[in-house]
Amino acid sequence: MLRLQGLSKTYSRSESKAVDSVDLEVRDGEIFGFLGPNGAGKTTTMKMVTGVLAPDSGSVSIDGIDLAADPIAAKLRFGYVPDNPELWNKLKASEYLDFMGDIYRVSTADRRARVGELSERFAISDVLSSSIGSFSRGMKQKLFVIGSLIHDPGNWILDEPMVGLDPQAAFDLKELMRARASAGKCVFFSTHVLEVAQRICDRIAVIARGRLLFTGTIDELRTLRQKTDARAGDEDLEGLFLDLVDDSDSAGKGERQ
Amino acid sequence: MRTPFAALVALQARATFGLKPLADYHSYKDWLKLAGMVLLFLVVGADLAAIFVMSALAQYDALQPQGLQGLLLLNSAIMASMAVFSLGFIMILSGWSQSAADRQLFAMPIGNRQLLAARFVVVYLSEFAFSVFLVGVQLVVLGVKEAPPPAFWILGLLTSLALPLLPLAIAWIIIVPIMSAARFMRSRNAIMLAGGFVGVAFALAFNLYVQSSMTKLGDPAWMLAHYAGPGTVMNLVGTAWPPSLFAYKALSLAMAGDWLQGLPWVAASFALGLAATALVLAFFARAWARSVLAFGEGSLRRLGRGQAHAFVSRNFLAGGAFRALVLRESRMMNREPMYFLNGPFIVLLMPLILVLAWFVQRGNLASIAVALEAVRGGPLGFLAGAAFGAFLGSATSIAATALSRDAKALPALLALPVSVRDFMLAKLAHALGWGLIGAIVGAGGLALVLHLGFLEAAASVLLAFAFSSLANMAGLWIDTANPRLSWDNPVAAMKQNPNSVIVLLGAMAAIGGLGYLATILSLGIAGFTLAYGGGAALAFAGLFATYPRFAQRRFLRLEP
Repeated sequence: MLRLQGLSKTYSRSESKAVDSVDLEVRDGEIFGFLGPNGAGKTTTMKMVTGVLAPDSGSVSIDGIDLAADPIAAKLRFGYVPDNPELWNKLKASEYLDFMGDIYRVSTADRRARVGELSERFAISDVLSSSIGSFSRGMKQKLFVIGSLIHDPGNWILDEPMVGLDPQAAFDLKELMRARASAGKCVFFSTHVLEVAQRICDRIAVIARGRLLFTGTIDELRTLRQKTDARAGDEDLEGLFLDLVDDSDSAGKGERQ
Repeated sequence: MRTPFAALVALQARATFGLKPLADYHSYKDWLKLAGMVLLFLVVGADLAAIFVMSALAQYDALQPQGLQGLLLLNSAIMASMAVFSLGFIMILSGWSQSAADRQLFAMPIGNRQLLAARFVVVYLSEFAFSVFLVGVQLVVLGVKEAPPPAFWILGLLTSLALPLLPLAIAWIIIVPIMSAARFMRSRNAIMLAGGFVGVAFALAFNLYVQSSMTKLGDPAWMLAHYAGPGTVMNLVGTAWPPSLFAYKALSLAMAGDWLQGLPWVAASFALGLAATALVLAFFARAWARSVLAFGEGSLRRLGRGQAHAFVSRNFLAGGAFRALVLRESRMMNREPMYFLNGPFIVLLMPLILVLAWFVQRGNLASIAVALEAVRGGPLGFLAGAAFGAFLGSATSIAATALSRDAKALPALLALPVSVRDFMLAKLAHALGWGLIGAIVGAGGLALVLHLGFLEAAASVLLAFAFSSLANMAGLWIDTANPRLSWDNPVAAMKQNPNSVIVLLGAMAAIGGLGYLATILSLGIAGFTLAYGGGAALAFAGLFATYPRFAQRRFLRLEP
């Protein structure tokens, strides 16, 4: 379970808050989608959740462990798929996975079993001896998905995980996300692909201009929108999302004026 | 509005040289950094110039009594051509491994010839600087000694402009067919090997040329026999490499006050270089574009189903987190050509150059042997070995670029369950590993040459390692305090990182200072080992003990 409380961040070279007082709880057993337009604060929030950025105020806890107080213990409890797979091109796929196994303290037997199973599932078992630099973007993404699960974490955090995946791999990843949630684990991912969010998320959060605009199920969002606009009843997530962000932009301009 | 070609050249130059427009310098810190870089550039440039000026003065003094001082001009043209060809060769070759980002340019409405021409211009700009530097040094020596008319300087500049064209065109003509035909060359590792080989060959050839010419300059009879009459070495060289003869003719005529007669020779040099450049653009642009687009093509090694299972069973083995971090650091650095060639490779390259210099100077071995006898038995040989080992171990730039090199990967790395301490100390361990190799190669190698006893040799290696460890620890501090986190090209993180220059020059200055101090102190081998080695070890321990807390605090302020 992930819990974000009063999370705020202002970058040193900026005057406005990139993330402003975000409260969020991602429960075990659910797939939680984190949505927002470009520059909304999604990546900054993801970086604070994973311990890459220190928040100015607020806290993050992973399964009840405070990330700032005990970062190693907290980080051991999640697996993370970063959004940029172009970072490890000098390593072989097997070297990367072995590295992840060592970092997450996975026994030899467990890592062999998980690498074997997941690399078969994502159809890259035959290229494990190759250099990551020779992989396509989709293959790299699959490899990082496997690396993030090598310790079978209770929490799975994915930053734009569908980018670059072929239809089969995207389907497999969605299946895996559902399987982990069904097994009582928590899945938290950011995406621009609203269709994916609509199809697999149990709950979503929408962020814009650093503030959370909504947290709940898609049905709850629809009900909320119906209160302000009667036509919202038939809209899909894309329409609801655009209306919500549009309202937020108008409010923001109003505030500035 | 700029033309597409001008925009292309500006883009390529900015990416290659890590330049940014002056309008982007906002704070006083930006300006301070720029001023520091300019100052550093001037100091390093002046340092190199001083070495070349001393060499040129020695040559002038040897040639002038025979009236052959004009040969300096021939010498400068040959050296500039060699340097431009070799360094340009490496830069052109490395262009393929940097081409991933350039590929989108091929989707733009720009012709292959324009793309190649822009690349040519960027390489030319870099090599023109070397050409001006190498020719300029000799011109200044002749200018001061012979007081030629002003036209001499103008023709000198024009000659420097023309000289790089032909060597660069030849380098393209050699490289493009190789990159087009040889699939094995289309990987970064192959580029690293080829670039390293050319770099070593150049360094060796350059040394061979300088060392052998210096030896011959000391022999007036040889000079007169080979340079005074028709059919001399000069004519042979001129026939083999016409630009050097053109430069010699143009500048010697200008020096004699007959610059109008010299002008056609400059024109000939330009004509030859531009014709070769046009040839490259006309006939090689298409092949170049194809080979760039084909670079890094996937060459996946696929395992059979049974093999894959066996591979997993055989290759995955649990180990410690720190070991994993050290292995990652070592693999990520030493498999990246830009990092390896500008870093740890110095530990192998420098001794190789010295061995060659030793080989070429073997004619003077008698005098060297006498000098060696003088240092044997005292602490001088032991200290010389320690100094060389300390230099090699301090010059790898591993620790001084540790954080900068990982700038792109920081978001992924900081999410891992490892402490900042372990993450950074793994990098220090890598630097100390190469520091130890440098100490053994440098101090141990010199101990062999000087026939030092085992204990003496061991103390020399120990002293070198202690000093290089301190330099590496200081480098880690500096790069943690002021990492270069914003870059598009690994060159910026490594070669253009001021932190590595600061550590390199700082180590050289400290070694020089300690060497000078050693001539005043009379401590003996044990005394120097204790005083210098102990001092370095204590300073290292102090920096090491306080580093984790500093790094932890610094990382909290990072915004990757």
